[in-house]
Amino acid sequence: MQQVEIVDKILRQIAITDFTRTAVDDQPISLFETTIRYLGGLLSGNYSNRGISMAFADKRMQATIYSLAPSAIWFKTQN
Amino acid sequence: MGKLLEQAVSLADSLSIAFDTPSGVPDDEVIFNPKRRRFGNHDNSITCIGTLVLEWTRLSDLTGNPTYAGLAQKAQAHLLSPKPDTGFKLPGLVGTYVRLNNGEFGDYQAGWGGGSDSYYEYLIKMYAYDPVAFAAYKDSWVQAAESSMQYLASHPTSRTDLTFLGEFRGNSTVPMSSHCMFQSHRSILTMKPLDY
Repeated sequence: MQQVEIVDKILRQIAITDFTRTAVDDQPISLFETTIRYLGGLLSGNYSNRGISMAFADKRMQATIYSLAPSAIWFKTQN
Repeated sequence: MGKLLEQAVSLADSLSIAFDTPSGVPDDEVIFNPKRRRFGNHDNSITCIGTLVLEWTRLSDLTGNPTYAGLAQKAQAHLLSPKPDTGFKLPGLVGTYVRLNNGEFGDYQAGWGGGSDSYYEYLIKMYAYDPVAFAAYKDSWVQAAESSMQYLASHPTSRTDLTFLGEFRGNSTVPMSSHCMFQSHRSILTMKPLDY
């Protein structure tokens, strides 16, 4: 894919997002929707790290992404 | 722990209050601020209850904290062993709405449409995830699939070569189909974990 800038922007946004608050008070959010899209997305992103070396040729970019998301499963599945 | 996983934990910890009900069947709506609480719905659909277990179990497996899996699997158990059992006419196919106070079904609208669909999807995905731990989930899925082929399969009179899955409402089938592309996709997905 090689969309280095887009992925970098996404990862940095995730890192600074406060997932314990909504922008507006008393805003109901769906457990189902939040689980399959946000929680599922975070866990899948974690898993996708193992594909990063294939998706990103730039070694410095790989290092940046690994430092943001060095997942247990990545290390496990590399063995 | 990586930042993505750290944020997943933060999010799940905030959402966990949804499961704070008498039965453990979660409220689908939660409010984070100013005070964290669940919204106070009286029931929830099997889609919203039954499409959590993969993510919440995975989070426990990655973090070593069994709390998340415990919450989702306790909720799922109400769907795998539906109460009251007298009303459930098609094996494996359960109703759509469950009461939060006692974990009992409030209706018998069975099928693979919106409100039900992904409960069945997650049964077989959990089996693919861990065939030993979730063998009972697979048994439930197979029962549902067999009941569907036997009772819900329907062929339009103008195109008898086509098969749709209808819905079961109360005591009879209704020749109404939704999410039909989804269904064929799910059936194909199932071939691999079940070794067909």
